[in-house]
Amino acid sequence: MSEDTQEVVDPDDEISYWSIVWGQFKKNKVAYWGMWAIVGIVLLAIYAPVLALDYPFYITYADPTGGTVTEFPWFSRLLFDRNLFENTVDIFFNLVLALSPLMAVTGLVLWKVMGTRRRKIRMAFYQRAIWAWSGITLACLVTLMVLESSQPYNNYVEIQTGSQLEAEVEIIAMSFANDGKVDPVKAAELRSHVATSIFPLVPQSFRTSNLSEVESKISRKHLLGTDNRGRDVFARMVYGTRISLTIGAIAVSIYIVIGIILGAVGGYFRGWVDSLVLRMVEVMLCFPSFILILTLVAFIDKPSIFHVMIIIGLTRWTGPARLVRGEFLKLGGQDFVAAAIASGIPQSRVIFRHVLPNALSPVLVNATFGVASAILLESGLAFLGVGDPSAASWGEILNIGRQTSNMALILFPGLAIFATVSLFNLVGEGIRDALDPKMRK
Amino acid sequence: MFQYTIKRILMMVPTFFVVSVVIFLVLNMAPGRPGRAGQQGISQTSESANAQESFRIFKEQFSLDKPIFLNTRFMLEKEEIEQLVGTAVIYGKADVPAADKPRISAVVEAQEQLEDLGSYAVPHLYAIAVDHPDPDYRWYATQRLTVSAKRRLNNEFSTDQLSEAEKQLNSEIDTENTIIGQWQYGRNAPEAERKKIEDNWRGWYTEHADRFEYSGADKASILVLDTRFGKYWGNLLKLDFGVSNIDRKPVLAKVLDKLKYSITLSFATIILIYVIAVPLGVFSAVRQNSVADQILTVILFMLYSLPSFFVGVLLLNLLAIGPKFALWPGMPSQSDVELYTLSVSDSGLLVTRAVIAICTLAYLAWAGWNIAKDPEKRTPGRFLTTAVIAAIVYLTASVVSQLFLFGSVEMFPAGGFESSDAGSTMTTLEHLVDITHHLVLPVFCLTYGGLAAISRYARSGLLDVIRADYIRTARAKGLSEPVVIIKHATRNGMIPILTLLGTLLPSLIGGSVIIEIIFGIPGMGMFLFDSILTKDYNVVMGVLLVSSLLTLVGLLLSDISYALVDPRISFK
Repeated sequence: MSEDTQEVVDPDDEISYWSIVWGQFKKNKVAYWGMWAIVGIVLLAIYAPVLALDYPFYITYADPTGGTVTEFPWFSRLLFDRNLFENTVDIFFNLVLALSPLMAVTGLVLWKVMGTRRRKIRMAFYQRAIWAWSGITLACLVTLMVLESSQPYNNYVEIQTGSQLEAEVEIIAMSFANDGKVDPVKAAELRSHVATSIFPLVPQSFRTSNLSEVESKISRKHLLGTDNRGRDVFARMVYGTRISLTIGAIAVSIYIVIGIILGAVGGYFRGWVDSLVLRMVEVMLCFPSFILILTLVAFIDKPSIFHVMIIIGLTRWTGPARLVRGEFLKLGGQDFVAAAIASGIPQSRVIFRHVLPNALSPVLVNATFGVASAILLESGLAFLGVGDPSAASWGEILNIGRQTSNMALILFPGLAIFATVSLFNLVGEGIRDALDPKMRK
Repeated sequence: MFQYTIKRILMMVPTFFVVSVVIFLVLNMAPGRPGRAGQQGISQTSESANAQESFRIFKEQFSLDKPIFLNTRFMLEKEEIEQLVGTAVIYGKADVPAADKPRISAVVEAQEQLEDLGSYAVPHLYAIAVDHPDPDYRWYATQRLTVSAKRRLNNEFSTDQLSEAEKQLNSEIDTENTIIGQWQYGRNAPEAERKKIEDNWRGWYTEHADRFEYSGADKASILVLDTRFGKYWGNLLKLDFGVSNIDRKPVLAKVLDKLKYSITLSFATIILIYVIAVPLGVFSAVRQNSVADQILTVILFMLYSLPSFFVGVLLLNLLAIGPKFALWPGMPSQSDVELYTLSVSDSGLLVTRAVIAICTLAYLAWAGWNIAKDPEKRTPGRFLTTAVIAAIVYLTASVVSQLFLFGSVEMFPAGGFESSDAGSTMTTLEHLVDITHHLVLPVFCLTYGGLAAISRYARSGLLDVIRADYIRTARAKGLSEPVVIIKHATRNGMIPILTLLGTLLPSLIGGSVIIEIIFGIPGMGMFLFDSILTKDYNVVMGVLLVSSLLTLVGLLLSDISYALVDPRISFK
């Protein structure tokens, strides 16, 4: 950072700190491909319904009155149906799924347009775009969290047997009737008129329990078998990625924000503020954090996945707080800080716009490792059976595997957790090495 | 040094106090109420009077009738009490239309609030009972008075021995309580009976009015001390953690009883971690960037990311219980294993074992020859390493081959800390072996994660010092390489990992919850989990306090050892 500012360079050729870091990161092949694997997992999370859902994208059937009806039930009602996707996390990812074509087009257009601009402008634009994008995403999630209401599943028909097509037909029959109940005559009539339909790759539900197929073995129908309530394990595993990734992202953002604010304030103002922050850190360090989190989650009457996130976020901020505080103590005496203060900029601006950007790199490493440990924590909680019962978490599958000694239910979720956690750890190590000048050759 | 230790210990006191405040606050703010699992709202009114009374006593015993932090009940106004009484009374009135009546949950809440206010409500209740215009109010207030005006016995819920004077006082209080308890009447009692009882109360109140007048000092002490927190801390200073909701046994004794299992587990783990991690770290630092170092790095990295509960469940199912999983089609299921064993075991097992043994011996011979023929490599350390590798390979191969042949290897017990007949029939040595046998899997699950982290730190710690000037000096003096590494480099390079001891302990305590539950070890973690599920607040408080105390001690130990090892750290 500081050595770059000494030289006078043409603004177009100036290489920013982050582009150096990115270049270093790309040299580490394992971490680089690990990053792409994480992108793959994110895509898997977004497109989970395309992979596993027991309702068709598209269905054509002869209307009892004579005509032909074509429906796209996903986009007309299923993706945002709280009775089908009980968990807010799923609704959020479905929103992203529904908007993803639009976003892809917008992104592509912007990429093309910006490609002709000068490098510096382009970089500034991308930076803003990333900030805006994260802001919008977070705002969406928070809105959904606030809107989250525990609606009872009043008109959801738990379909115990039969094919998915029948299930869909029954849903359609339900929508024809006014009272929200399946009209058996109409359903039978519809069933004989269905012409074509396209189903997802694995036409299995992640939450419908099928009591006639409890603990079935691995087969073509159930790729990883079923659990003790007859739910398809493959579908649950796929939706589990959503839970793990959200937990990682949200919990870590919460504690990073808390840690940055506390650490920055302590490190910038020093004196009694600093010692207060230090005391708080010390107190938090004395709690065995897993036990504390376990107790907190278990004492909530109906914990949702967001409770788990908030609790993890509120208990683990000590790491980033100490890191940011240390960086602030180090940077506090530097000339650019003195210059910023001398030019009469408000203190909050000095802290957040001048010092903080230079103190962020260790936090980035901490955050990447933090995602891994948050995923581990959540699956540990779900493994113990505390946590959101409506979330198809990997830990919960593993718990069922333990109770029933079913190896498929132990191995696959365990390996999924292992893979995700090690990917995040790999990328974290890659970033750390890229940021650490000592490692550069 | 001594001064430093004392100062450090004294600094722990305020920290511990704040920790306990936070835990207390969190537990008491938590929704859900202890002692009434599964009973809420409406069902409370239909409870028998007996159950209500026993719940009131329960609340008194656990101080749940008191406010959490600050008690301002001496400032109660008559209007507040009147309102509460009104809510409680209006429900039973015949002449009030149903639409105007409060909801039943509000009535229950008002009743409970009155109950919780206890003796602080007595003056106002008395005032309502003797001269409220509405007879229903008078009736209800009188009823409440018979409970609230009772004085609490000394040492009611404790088993401590009472002195003679205290016993005397208790019997007086008891007599008075019995008399007061009878001063009530039915809702539709005749005026004469009411009059008589009201007179009784008048006489009693004029005699004892001074009990309900609080001086400034009284108010101050009530404000702080007559609260849940005050009571809890008062008891805590006497090392009394309260009693469990479930079996009314003292928490501290129970926790200490469970602690021995957890301590055994944690200490075995910590010792193993350091014993294995330091040599591993030194090894990979000395051979930085060699193939062995890179392989070790990859393995340790994978171990670091493996969730311990997954490994625990997996090992339990593979090495202690037979799996319900076919490793290949046609593999015998759990129920067939015995049958299968009879037919194949002798020949199949023997042949595989023999093949593995021959391969291992061949490897040993080849590696030994390679080492022996090269005079530079001919060190005892190399022979030892080769032998250890051969032994590990042999053991792993036998276990894995047996796993593939029979689907399970019942090498270890399925759970618990010791066999059920351990105490009675075993000698001490057998007992020790039995415990070790039970602890192999759980300790392994707890160890490998910490091992991976610590050995990385050991590696980088040693790398930091190995290029220092004094190492070059030592080499230049002509010291042998092992002496340089072990005596000069390792001692200094290991200082950073000493501080990790403090952070290792809390993570071990946390991690052992899951491991204890998986392996059925009746330690503190399992106890905590069970108590959380039954909302046994005192136990949860106790366990949390004890574990954070352990953490504090761990931090203290690491600080002190840090200071002991590194003379550059001053105590000023």
